[in-house]
Amino acid sequence: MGIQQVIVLEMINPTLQPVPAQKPTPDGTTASATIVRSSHTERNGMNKKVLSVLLGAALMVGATACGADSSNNSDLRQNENAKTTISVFTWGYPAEKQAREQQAQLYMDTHPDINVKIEVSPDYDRKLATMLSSNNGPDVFEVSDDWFHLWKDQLVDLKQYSDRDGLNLDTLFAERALQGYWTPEGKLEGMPIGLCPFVMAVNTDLFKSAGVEVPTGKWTWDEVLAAAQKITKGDGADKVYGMSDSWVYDQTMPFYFGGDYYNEDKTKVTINQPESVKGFQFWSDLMHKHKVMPDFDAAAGVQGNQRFFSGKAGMAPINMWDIQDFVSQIGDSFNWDLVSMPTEASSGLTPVWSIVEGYGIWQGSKQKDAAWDYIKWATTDPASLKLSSIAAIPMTPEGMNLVVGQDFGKKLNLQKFVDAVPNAILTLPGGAFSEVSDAVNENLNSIKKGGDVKTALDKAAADAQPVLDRIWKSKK
Amino acid sequence: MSSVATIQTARSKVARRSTESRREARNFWIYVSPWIFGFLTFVLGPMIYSLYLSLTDSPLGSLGDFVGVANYVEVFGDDLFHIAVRNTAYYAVVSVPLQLVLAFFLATLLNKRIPAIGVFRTIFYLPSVIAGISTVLLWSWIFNANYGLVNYLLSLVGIDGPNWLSDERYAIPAIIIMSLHGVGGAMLIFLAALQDVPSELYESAQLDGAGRAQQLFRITLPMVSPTIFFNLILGIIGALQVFTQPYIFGQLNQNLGRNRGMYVYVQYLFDAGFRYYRAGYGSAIAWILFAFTLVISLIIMRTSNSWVYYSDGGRD
Repeated sequence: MGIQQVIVLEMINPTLQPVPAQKPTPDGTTASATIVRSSHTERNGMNKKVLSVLLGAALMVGATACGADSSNNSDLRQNENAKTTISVFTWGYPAEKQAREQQAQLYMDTHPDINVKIEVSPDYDRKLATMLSSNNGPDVFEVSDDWFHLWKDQLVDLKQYSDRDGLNLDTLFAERALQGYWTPEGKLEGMPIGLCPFVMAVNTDLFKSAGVEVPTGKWTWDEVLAAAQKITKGDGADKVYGMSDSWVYDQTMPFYFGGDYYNEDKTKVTINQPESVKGFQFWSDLMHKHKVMPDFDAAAGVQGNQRFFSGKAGMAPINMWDIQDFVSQIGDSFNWDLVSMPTEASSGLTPVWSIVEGYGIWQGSKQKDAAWDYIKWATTDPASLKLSSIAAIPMTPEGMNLVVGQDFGKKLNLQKFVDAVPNAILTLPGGAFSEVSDAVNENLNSIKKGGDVKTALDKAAADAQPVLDRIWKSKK
Repeated sequence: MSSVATIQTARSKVARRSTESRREARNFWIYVSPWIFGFLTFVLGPMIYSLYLSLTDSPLGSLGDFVGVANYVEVFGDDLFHIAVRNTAYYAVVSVPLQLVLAFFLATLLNKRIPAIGVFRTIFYLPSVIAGISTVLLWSWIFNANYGLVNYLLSLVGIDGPNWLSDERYAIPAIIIMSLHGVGGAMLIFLAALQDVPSELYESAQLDGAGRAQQLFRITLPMVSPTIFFNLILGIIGALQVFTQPYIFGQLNQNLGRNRGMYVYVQYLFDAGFRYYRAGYGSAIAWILFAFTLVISLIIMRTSNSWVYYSDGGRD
C-alpha cells in the first residue's frame, strides 16, 4: 500500500486504523500527511468546507498515486525523504492488541524512518479475505500455522529473506515453530510470533473439598478420571461436573492413542482407524458412562468456560488468550491454578492442542524489505518478545521463559504453558481445510449425544473424504 | 415585417423551451447521477461479476478457470443444499403468515381509540428497532435449556422443555418464535393502512346490519389488501434471507461444525464463500437464491390481481 493510499484510507475512515502516537515530525514529512494528521486531532472543530477541500485533495493525491508507477512513487518518497509506512493486520483480544501496538511503538522509536500501523480486527478471517480479494492487502498480516497454506499464493517466500540475512532457522526457533509454515514446495510462509498451547485450569477448592490432591507434574487420564469422579456431584442444572465440556477434547482425542485425523500427506481421512476410535471411545465414556463431563444436552446453553467460572466444573482447558477472561470472571469466588493436560499411560502421549501465530508478508506489498525487517525484529528481538509473550509463547529458546514473568493480576503456575511446548501438536487444520473439519466435527456431535462411536467416525470419514479429495483436486 | 417578427418570436420561444428542457434534462442527469453511479458500481457491477464468478471455480482471492454450469450442478447435488432449502422453506412458510396475522391483529388492537394509545403503539413497535445481534443474544438466554424463561414457564405447567437451540427438531421453531418480536415493522404499516379505511364504510355497513366479522372480511381486509400484499412480499424476501439468528446461535454454541437443524440457505452461502473460500461456488448459491426470490415474487404479483383491491381501480 502506498503512503498516499494510506492517507486516503485514513481520510475515509479514521477509525479504521488506530493513529500511531504522535512523534516529533521528522524533516520532510509530506505536507499532505501533516495536514491529514491534524485533521484527526482537530476533526471536531473543523468546518465542512475545509474537510471537503481536504478530502478532494486527498482523493487527487490518491488518484495520482494510482496513475504513477511504483518507481516514480519511490522516487517521490526518497526526494521528499518521507517515512515508509507499513501496515500490519492482526487478530487479537485486548491485551494482545495492546502488545502489538506497543511492539510497533518500540520499533518506531528505534527506526525513525519507518511508520508501523497496526490494525486489529475481531472479524479477521473475513476482512483479510476481502482485502486480499480486492488486491488491497496489508504489507504484513498474521497467519496461523493451522491454515494449511490457505493464502499460499498471496504470501512472499520468507526463506529468501532469512537466507539473505544469514538466519539459521533451525537453531533460532523451537521445532514446532515453522512446521506449519513450510509449504510442500519448500516455501516459508510465516515467521512465528508464538505458540498458543492449552493447559488445564483446575478449581483447587473443588479438588480440596473432594479430597483430591492437585497434581504438580504429569498426570494420567486414569488419575484425571478418578479426580473427576470424586468432584462430580449433584443433579440437573445444579450438577457439579469433574470436567467442563470443551472442543479441545474433541480435537485432541484421536492423538492420545497414536491416531490422527489424516494420514501423513493429508490425502486420507483416518479418523475411523482403531487408534482414533479408542480415543473417542474414552471421550464418549467420560460423558455417558462416567458422567463426569456434560454431554450434548447438558452442555447446551452453558459454555464450558462459564461452567468453570460458576464453580460447577473442576477442570477446564485454558489457553493463554483465555487467562485474562478467567481472572476477571472468577475474581475471588474460588481458588484456581494451572496444571498439565492429561497423559495417556498406555502410549505415554500428552497431545496438546496448539497453534503457532505468525507474520507473513503480502505478495503485493510495495515495502517488502521494510516489512521483513519489522517481522524479523518482532519475532526475534527479546524486547519485542517480552511484549508478545502476554498472548503466546515466543519460539526462541530464550524467549520461551518470558511467559513466566507475565503479570495477569493473579499468581498462576505459568510454567505449565512452557512445559507444554514439546507436546504441542497440530490437530484438525482450519483455513484451506475448514470444510473437511466441519464435515468431521458435525459427526462428533452424534457421539456427544450418546451415539455409537465407530458408526459416527465411519460416517465422519465417509462425509469428509470426498470434500478432501475435491480440495486436493482444486489445488492441482 | 410583423409576420417575420412573429416567426422569430415563436422560434425563440421554441428555442428557449428546448434550452429549458435541455437544462432540465441535464439537471435531471446531474441529480440522479450519484444514484446511478452507486447502482452501477455497487450493485449492478458486482452482480454481473458474481454471475461470471459463478461460472468459474474461483477461490476467494483469485480468479479461477471457466467451468460452465458445473457449480450449479454441484449445488443441486449437494446434501447441504437440500438441508438448507428445507430449513429455510420451513422457516418462511410458517413465519411469514404467522407474522402477517400477528402484525394485523396487533394493528387492529392499536387502532382503537383508547387513552394512552401512543404509549402502547410505542411499546409494541420498540422491539423491532433493536439491532439484530443484541436481540439474538437475549433470545439465546430466553431459550436456554436449563435457565431459560421459556422452559421455566413450561416447567410451571409440568412440561420438561427441550433444548431449543441444539435439538434439531426445535431449532427452526425457536427461530420462528423469535422472529415474531420483529413484527412491529409490519404492524406499523398495517396500522397506517387501517387508519386510511374511510369510517363511512363501517357506518353504512352497520346501518345495513353487518356484524363485526362481516365488516372485517368485507371491508377491512379488502381495503388493506395492498398492504397485505406489500408485507407478504417483503416478509418472504426477508425470510429467505434469514441468517443472523442461526449464525449467532451457532457461534454461541460450543459444538463445532454445522448445526444441521438450523442450517439455513444464507448460512450455506456464507460458509461456501467465506469459510470454505469458494467464491465461484458461493456465487452460484447466491444466484439460485436470487432466481428463486424473483420467481416467487413474480408468482405472487401475478396472483395479486385476484385478491388485492385498489380503491382507485389500480390506476396510478
